[in-house]
Amino acid sequence: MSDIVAAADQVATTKLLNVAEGLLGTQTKSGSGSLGPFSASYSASVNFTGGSVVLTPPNVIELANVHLNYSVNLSFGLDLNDFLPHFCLPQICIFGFCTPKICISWPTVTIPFGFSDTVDISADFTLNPHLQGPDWLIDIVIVGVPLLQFGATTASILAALGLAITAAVAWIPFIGPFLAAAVIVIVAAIGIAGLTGLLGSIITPFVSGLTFNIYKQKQHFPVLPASGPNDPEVDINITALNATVQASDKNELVIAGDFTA
Amino acid sequence: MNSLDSRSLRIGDCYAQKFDIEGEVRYALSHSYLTRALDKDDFLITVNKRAQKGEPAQHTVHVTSKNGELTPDLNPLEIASGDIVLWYTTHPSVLGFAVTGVGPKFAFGSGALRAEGVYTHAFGVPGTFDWVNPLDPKIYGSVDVKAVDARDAKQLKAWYALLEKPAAFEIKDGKVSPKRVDIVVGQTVFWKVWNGDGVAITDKRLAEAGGTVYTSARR
Repeated sequence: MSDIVAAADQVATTKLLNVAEGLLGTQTKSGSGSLGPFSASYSASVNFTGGSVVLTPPNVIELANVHLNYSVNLSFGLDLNDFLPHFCLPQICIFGFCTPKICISWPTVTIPFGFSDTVDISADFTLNPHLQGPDWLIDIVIVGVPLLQFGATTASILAALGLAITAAVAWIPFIGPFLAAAVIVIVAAIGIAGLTGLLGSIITPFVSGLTFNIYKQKQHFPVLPASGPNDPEVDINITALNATVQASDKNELVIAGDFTA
Repeated sequence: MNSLDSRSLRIGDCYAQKFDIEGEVRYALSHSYLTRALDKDDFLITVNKRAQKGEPAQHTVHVTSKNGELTPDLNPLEIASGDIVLWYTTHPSVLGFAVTGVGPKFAFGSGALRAEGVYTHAFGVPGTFDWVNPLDPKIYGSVDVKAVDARDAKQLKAWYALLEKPAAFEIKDGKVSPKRVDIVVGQTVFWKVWNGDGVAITDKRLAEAGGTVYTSARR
């Protein structure tokens, strides 16, 4: 029999989760990846909010509909010669002389693009009570990597990317007549698959190994203050801490600990 | 950039000058206005007497940049009186050049167009472009450039046909005719100067931003 036992039902555990999400805060990452045929560099930030807990004995905590809020800034190089036709200003004659035919070399431009969105994740987590330094921690750790469903919003992100490309290249002389058609081709070359592929490679590492700390307690802490020179402070030292999901009249997260005074 | 500025010729711009007077002509290519005198180390055009039956010819000089130095592909150049020399660039690293020259009893330059001088500019973006001669604000005009969406072959063909139609301003006795031309993106506008002391064609915004002061080289 443990020295101390505490229990939290699903509602209470959901509250613990929501606090843990806030404590986890915003995580950031930068790198590079493929955006369809382009190589893109990116920086991304992610935080988690919401969601609910389903406790399943013996040790599974299912988190449902946790909102993964992400913000991505990416940039990629675009060699417009790959997407625009060869174009020359024609020779024109007037006033007894002729301009030469002048062919235009399209530049390579960098397209900056930022967007934010939310994807909901649901996954099973397992309990991991452990001592870390002076603290006992109870973490819940994701089991496996859930499938990220970026869903319908990727189409609107792709449309926004098309607008970003248009804005980034509109200044280029003589591009105007070709621009609408070129943007359609470029966006099609990236496609939903290209965008979700990049998003997957960016976001998945934030989810893989995802850990929320739902409980933290000093291993050694006072329970009674000193009340005189002959009555010193009484401390407790937690020697073991365990967490399980147990079924009683309702499923509960049960934390049990042993201590020495 | 696709700036309208005869003092800084870029891809899509041309400057042409007709040479009627025989003799030795020296000119320089510079990234900005030349303020020094020209000498024998500058580029050379020799204007010879025209054979009686010869037709005037055009000599087209392509300007490139080698190690930061602006270089014409034809130098020295021998022409006959009445011939035209045209300078232009397609070199991406040439971010603007000016032609400044002197001949027997006359000076010429892209920044100070004189008799028989022509500046051309292909407009790459839509909009209304007010231009002015910063040396004489009474010489001014406007170019209205319409956008084009050529997303299918038929539209593209129609646009290409429009590109072959020139639009022109003529500047004579200090007067500009017409005051305004309407074109589409990609079309070329010509400024022909028949006489005068020197005309620069400059986007009004550039002139207002402080590009109004320059000194042309004279021997």
